[in-house]
Amino acid sequence: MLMTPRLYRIIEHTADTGFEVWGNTKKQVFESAAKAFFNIMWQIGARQQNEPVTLEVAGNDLEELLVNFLEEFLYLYDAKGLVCTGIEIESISADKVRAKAWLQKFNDAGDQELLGVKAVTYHQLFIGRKNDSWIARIFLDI
Amino acid sequence: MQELTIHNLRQIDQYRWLLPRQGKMRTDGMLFLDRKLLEHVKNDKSITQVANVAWLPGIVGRSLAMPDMHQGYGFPIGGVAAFDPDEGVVSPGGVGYDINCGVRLLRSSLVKDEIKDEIVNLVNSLFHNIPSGVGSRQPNLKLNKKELKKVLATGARWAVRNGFGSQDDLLHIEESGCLDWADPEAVSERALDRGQAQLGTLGSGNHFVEIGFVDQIFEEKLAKGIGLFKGQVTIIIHTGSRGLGHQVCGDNIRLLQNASRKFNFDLPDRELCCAPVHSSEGRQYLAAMASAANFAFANRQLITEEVRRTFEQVFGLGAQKMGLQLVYDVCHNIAKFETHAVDGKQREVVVHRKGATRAFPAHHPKVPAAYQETGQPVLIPGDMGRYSYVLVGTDRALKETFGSTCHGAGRLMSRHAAKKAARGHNVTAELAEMGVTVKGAGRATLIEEIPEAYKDVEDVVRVVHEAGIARKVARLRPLGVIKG
Repeated sequence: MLMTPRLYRIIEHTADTGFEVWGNTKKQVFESAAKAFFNIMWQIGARQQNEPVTLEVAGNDLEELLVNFLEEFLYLYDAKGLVCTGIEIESISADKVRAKAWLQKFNDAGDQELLGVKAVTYHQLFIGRKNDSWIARIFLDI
Repeated sequence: MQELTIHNLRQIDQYRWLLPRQGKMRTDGMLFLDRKLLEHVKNDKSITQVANVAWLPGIVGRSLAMPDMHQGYGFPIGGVAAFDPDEGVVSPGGVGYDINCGVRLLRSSLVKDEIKDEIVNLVNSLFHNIPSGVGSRQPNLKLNKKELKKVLATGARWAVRNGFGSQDDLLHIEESGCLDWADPEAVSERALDRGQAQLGTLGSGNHFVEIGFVDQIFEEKLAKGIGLFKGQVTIIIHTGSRGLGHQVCGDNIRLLQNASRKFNFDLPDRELCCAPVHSSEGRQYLAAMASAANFAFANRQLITEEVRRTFEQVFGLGAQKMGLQLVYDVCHNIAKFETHAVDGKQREVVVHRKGATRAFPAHHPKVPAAYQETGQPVLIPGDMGRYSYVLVGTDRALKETFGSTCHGAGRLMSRHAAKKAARGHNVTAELAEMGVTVKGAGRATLIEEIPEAYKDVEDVVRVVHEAGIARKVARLRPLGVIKG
């Protein structure tokens, strides 16, 4: 158990819920942010792995890319009832993220919603390099 | 006169703190707080956020904060600000993600003793009839996009036209349940996708339906004027525009960030992105926001009908016979064109209320006929264990706060702290002991929403009453609650 690296850290103020993630590369920090986001929102029961789909999300700068990228999963959940069980970032350019996502239909019997997230915000949003690693800090509207 | 070193706050009287114009602020701020409430907020970012709002172009009057203020995104929660329609801006940060999150109150001709043996049954039936929880969907109402756009264009009127409620309901909703400058074409396909299955659903977090009763009357004449009496059974509904509104806000934050760059606005916070009211971006946001607001009005109207149907099921009587009438429906998160006196002249302004309630006085033309003598009812929900308040708007609110007052208790503990505080406690059982039957879609929500996690709403209500920006009419106590 002690060997499992921590994926993210929750940052909480009275009315805010946020999280911080880190990684060696930009790709890694995006991937960790997505995984942390899923962890905060859902507990997904075991099921068979299916084929991934490719997601492409655009944004004007790195912050916007990160917000839009995470918002994509809120949209998929709300509009289509899909949850994401796996994510692999393929590329990040100045204005686009491309990722492979493993999506599953949310299943009332085996899955659980943990937190009702309304939106991913720009409040105190940070993504950038600190020393040798990448860090991202994101606050959610609950 | 007392100076508070923090932000140079200057105490004006027991309930008013002036935040003097400094740095890039275009105007002063004014905070309605007593010392106890000030203690809660002096270390978060909400006072800075009041100052940040004062940076925005075309602000008219002061940047205001109601006593339930706390740190929000962009504006503080509890923030109110008005902007000139020609020189000013509109900002999604002044409305929030849950567009037209609001509260409505139903009264009845029933008294507490008549329902006390059926509370558990009522709560279970409400929970069964009203889809609740994070991704709650409405299985009985399939709207195609064409029909959904009609909802967005006409709000609660759509609901009534389709058999959900009566014309009389419409008379008792802020703006009669429809912002007529809405344009569904300004709403993205993605927002429509998110809203399609969510009309008539409660959602999660702090949203709820609460059965309660009037346990205290402060002013008999006012209470009578709005049809309330001691012991009377009441129902409060608190929800908003669901995923559709969240998506509209997100879409427009993206759009208005580009606009802020285009217009070269100097902004202290990205969440305060904005555009001139009459720019194409500003008009786009306002048209989309009004559409989402209409969705919320329709949503509360549908839930009201579910509440009436549930009472009919449980008591075997008609809703009319039980007197289940709408007292009023108020918006908590909204931007609207309103006419206000500024420097002695009546003029149109765009009022942003972010976690604040309109509180218009008696004889105001926007107040429904039924409340011309009392003033507009203001509904302030508390936490699920304690109490909620009914107030009315005042002349002083109209003069000092663009006719605005507080909206609720505000959190005291973070969600994590609430979980820690609730550890080892059976929240449902403890509330039952206090006489409140609670049912929630998720156990996590119930724990995060424990009464101790909130400020005592009485502290907030006392300040607005004493400061004169609303007047206390009645206090309601909960008997049964369903939480999202």
